[in-house]
Amino acid sequence: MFKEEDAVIIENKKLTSDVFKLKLKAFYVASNIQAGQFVMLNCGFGNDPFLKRPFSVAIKDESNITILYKKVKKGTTILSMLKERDILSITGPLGKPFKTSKGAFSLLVAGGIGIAPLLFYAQNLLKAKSPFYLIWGIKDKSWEGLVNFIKTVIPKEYMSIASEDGSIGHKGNVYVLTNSVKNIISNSFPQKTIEVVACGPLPMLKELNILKKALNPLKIYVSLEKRMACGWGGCCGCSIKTKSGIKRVCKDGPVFEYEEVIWDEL
Amino acid sequence: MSCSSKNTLLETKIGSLTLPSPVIVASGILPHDEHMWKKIQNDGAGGICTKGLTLNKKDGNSGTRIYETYCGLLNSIGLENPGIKTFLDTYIKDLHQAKGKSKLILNLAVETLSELEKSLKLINKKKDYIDVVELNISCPNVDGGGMLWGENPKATKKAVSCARSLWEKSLWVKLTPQAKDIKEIAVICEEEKADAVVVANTYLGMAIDINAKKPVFKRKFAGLSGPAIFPMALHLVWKVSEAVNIPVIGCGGITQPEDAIAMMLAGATAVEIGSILFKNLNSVKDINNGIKNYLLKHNYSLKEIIGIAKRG
Repeated sequence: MFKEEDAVIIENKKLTSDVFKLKLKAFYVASNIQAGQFVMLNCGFGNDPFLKRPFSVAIKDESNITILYKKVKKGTTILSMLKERDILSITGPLGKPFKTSKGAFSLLVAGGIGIAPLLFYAQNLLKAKSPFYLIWGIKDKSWEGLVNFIKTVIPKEYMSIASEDGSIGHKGNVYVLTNSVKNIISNSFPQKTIEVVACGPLPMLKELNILKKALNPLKIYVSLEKRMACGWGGCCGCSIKTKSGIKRVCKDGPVFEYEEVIWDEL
Repeated sequence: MSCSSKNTLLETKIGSLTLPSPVIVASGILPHDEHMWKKIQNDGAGGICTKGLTLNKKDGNSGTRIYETYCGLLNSIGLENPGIKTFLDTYIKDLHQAKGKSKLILNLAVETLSELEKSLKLINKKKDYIDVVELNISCPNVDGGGMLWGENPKATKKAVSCARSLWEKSLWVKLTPQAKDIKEIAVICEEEKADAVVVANTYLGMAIDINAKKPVFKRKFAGLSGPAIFPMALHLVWKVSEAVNIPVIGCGGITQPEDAIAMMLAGATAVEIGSILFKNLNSVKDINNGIKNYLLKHNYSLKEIIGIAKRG
């Protein structure tokens, strides 16, 4: 069961011109959250902005969680100005976690700031010595600060990066890495079934068919993002159409099977 | 101070019902999830409203459903719900058990009179589980030209009279602030023997996406809630409570004990809270504690403060 707690800011560090790393002391959430779940976080104090915002957790230890966020509008701009020892109300853990089968090869596919929940999952797979690889599409060299941080968590032999202009890694979107990842899997893990877990912008998720065709994975899971007011299944603000009916991204997701989602309706 | 002991200090009477506290969770906030209902009843809720229910299942609106505004939010959910029958078959038993001392308030959206009749016949079969039916008259009256039921005195009269004839237990009517003369609508509810009026539902508003150059919501207009509307809701509570003798339940933008107390001082017998729970899930407890402290500090019973600002 999720709870509300007061989280203390331990660190709110700028990694790029608009991406921040926020470390919070939040005992209940830290000791209960699983990879793929999220928290709702008050961006500031008082009634404006009114709603909490959903954020995936990227790293956790016994008493702290770390969130990676991009400064976009009012809420995240205010969040970026908060200082160490400021206290924020946080609700969590919320939603359903990632789950790939034991023994499968997990291919993690990230777009932009969608790296956050996959970073958490990758650490689990590393600890469990479960085979995986991460491919990540970013905009350009301006993301270097975040790339450097990710490299401190995930060893470079587990990851390839593509950038739109080729200023970091390969040139193109994340799917230019399809062939190289196909080679890695067929050379090192030819017997393994493949399961894909993806998080990123909607256009990227809609193109997951590219990987489906190339790799014939057993399952593809996506972590979706929608505007939401509560985060715990009450408001129905984040409902989406799936093949098994209307589902709430916050409560029934945010992780869904790719085949279940009716993409044209998103 | 009158005879209330500390345990019953927050009790409030609405018609024949005694609520353990004056803080009710409005419709559309809590999911039909017994764990959450249990938490809210433990926090001392006077009542908990179901999501808005309709005879037939509704998938809700497509496109953007939530849009944040200054100190509030617009919503265009479109009454996503499983339909009365599924609700009664699947959820009512567990929710009834979870709600403890809180009253279970079934929020029923009025779409057509025949659907209203059919819904109430189904509801009657499970009436032991339900304390109150709250009629939502903020939906368009398709038979009546599309105007909201609650904007039109004659349509309101028909809907409330129909519901009253089929439902013997407590009947509340949740009014729409879009009504030209909300006092007139409230008087009709009283004449048709409603037990209370809830003042009020969300205010219509809208948002425009300036890059797409079109409204944010597919249905163009959406309901505004949150602290942004509190002063307007308070104004309506003041006006309506002058016009009727049945209890008025204040609703709209309450975020803190001071707001709930102000509603009661303006004439409300109880309050409904909604959007603030998205921000603070402990609001029921926090607001009840604040009301209790106020009563003890000023040496009043809850009953004594209702409408006291008018007598000033």
